[in-house]
Amino acid sequence: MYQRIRGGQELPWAWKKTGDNGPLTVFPRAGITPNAFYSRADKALKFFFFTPSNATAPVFTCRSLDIVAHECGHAVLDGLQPGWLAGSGNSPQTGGLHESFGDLTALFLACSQLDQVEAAIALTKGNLHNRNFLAAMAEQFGSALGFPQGLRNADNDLKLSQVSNEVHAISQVFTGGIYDVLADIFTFERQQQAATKDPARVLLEVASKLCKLLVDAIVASPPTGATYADVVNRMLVISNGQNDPPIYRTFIRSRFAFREVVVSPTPLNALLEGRLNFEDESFVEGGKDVLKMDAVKHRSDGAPQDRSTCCGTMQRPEYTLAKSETLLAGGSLSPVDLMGADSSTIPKASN
Amino acid sequence: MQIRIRRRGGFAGLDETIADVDTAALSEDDARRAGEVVEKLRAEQRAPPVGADHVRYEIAIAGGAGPHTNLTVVDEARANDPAMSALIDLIALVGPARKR
Repeated sequence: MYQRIRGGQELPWAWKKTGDNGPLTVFPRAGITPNAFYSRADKALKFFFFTPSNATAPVFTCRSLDIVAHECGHAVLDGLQPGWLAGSGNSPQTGGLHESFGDLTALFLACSQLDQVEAAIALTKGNLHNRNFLAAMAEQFGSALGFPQGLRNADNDLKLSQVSNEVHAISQVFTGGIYDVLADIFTFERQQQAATKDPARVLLEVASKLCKLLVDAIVASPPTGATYADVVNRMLVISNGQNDPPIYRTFIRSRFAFREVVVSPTPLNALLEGRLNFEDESFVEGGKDVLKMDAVKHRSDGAPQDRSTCCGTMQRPEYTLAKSETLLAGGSLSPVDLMGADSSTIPKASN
Repeated sequence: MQIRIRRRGGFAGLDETIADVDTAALSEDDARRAGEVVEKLRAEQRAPPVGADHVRYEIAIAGGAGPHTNLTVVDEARANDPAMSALIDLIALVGPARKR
């Protein structure tokens, strides 16, 4: 899919940079556990299976398009931006971008198949904010763990101040922002092209275009320590450069300002208050088509990346159970430091 | 010696404590073996793998003769992984299925 949207340009795996032309190996039944992961060292995607406690039939993660796409997304992104997994100075948002890219890969892959978007249009009556399977991530897996709406859901309203620094948690903010932009552009283009195209065709094309915009922005982002604002700002610049309608950038600015990713010099309320004219392709709130926005400052900015519930990349002592202040100060650890601290409270992305 | 084992991560972003035990509550033999396994885990600490969505086990050790430590074992689904073998031994000794 990514190769197609980039005009057939090769997407090398991360190890190709070291001269290794080996393939990515997929293990559909790597073992018994409720998981799937990407390993650069093994050059592999490993999918596991398990039987939920309340079921008799096993759940095979390799049978989930969402999970396969998510893990493959990690491998693709690791090839495009290897420093985001293995570089220094990566923030929680860098890890969040990785996880979000995985979930968005599943979303865009579903949106690249006409039968899937036709079904989604029929189900939602053209409103992508109605409950649908495109936004829900890994429904069977999530159900086995007690999440009937999917393990995660792209159609969410989460802001940075409402999530922890754990990479999957913080990823939902970026995923949700992109999903909102997809729904906005679709609403706009559906009206613009109503006389010439079926809504499903419009969604197919809009998703492909947004996917390419996202990938191009990711490629243009810093090689390490990338933040959500880095990617959003590059999306604005690239969108402008390819002469997208200005309203596209209004959607991007509004959605990521709402999510506390970027700060707007002027209030961006028209979209959220339902005052935006979806028929006006040149609509720019505040009168200026801003292409660079400041990132919202968060206490999490200097925090270590919490990949503790993900891969092992940033698993140093400072990310474990002890108080981060104690570790950073180089002091000795007491039993309370080690056993009393609740690690989930260490690096909160709260204001 | 206090031993707490948390299982975290994976595709689902799990976070669960699977053992939290004071070895004083174990039999003398099991407590000694737990100490030996902890030393084995300490020796097996290695750089974490580059990748995404691995399940990792965080073992916090407090008290006892050795230094207070946080150990990490990442499940890379490899056969004959000595760190995972030691972890399984430790869970058998201090986990919920241990002998009472």
